[in-house]
Amino acid sequence: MELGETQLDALKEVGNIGAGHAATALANLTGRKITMTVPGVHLVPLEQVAELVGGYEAPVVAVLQQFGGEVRGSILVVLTEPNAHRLIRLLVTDASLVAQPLVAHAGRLRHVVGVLIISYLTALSQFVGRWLEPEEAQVAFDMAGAIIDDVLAEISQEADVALVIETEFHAPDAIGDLVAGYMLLLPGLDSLRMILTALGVD
Amino acid sequence: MMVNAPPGADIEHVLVGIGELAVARPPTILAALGLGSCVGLTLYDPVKHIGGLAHIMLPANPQPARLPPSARFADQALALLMTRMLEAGAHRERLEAKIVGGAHMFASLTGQGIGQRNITALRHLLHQQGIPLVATDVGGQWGRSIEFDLHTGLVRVRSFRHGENLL
Repeated sequence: MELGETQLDALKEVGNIGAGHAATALANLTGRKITMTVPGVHLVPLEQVAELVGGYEAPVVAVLQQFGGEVRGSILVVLTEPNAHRLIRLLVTDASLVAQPLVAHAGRLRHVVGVLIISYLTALSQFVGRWLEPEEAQVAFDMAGAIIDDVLAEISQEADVALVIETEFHAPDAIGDLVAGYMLLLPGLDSLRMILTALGVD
Repeated sequence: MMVNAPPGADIEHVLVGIGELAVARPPTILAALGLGSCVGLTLYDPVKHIGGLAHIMLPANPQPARLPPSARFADQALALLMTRMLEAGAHRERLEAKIVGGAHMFASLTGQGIGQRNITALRHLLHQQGIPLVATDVGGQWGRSIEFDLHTGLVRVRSFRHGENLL
């Protein structure tokens, strides 16, 4: 599939609207100001997606949310371990709780990132006027390359490239450090066409 | 890619990315990093010390008429890898296979995961070809990296969860 500048700009706008809603949801949950930006929209060869999220062997915490319905695809939120710790500090004030290993916070991470993703998807669904249904969010702690395999396997059945809408989010934690995270929106090929049609730029 | 510094800093490491394959002789080390549901398939001729590695993503090419043959798919990966091994001088009747990966990274995803389907497909394909499957490190819920030493035919598996395992 060929995407010109008009299509990529429109997709970036979709990303911005989703990011705006997600920032508001996260701010409500944490009581802190969150900034979300969309640094880029790219068509990435499948073998290069792992590099986007830090490299094949980078230790990361990831939350995967797949969605079906009229629009289907996946959203993957990837946090490096230090950033996952900072996100925990945004949510938890009890120092002994904060000090626990990340795995002990799996449920909390899945919940907060899930809220962020759902608000993003809701905005996306409203903007393109199509119905979608999120599945249950999943959390994993492992090598970035391994974590992204399932998503890539799904995409590779119909394409050699993945459309990646990048989102970065930043929030100051309790000791002033910024939490930085990375979100990838990976729509299925037919869903991508549907989104472009809905935006009038197909 | 240089995975390890000295000793053996002059040894070439060939990184085999998703959907790729490579065939080599010693002292080259073939590596595949961050295997999740993907599977690393190695073939080895222990007499000639010729080895090959494919980094497989799916059990079969879903649209063989449209998508060109690729090591991305187990069925075509095995055929391509065997062809390249024989071209390099390996003997078919001496080939031994090992498979690593095929994990289920996100525990509660429903149904049979793509990783398990990859493993099942490869077991079946190897059996069909009469190539013995001499070692495996597959399944579970963790990512793996592999380094295939063509001197010895040994495959070193590394994971965050379980450290090292030598196959």
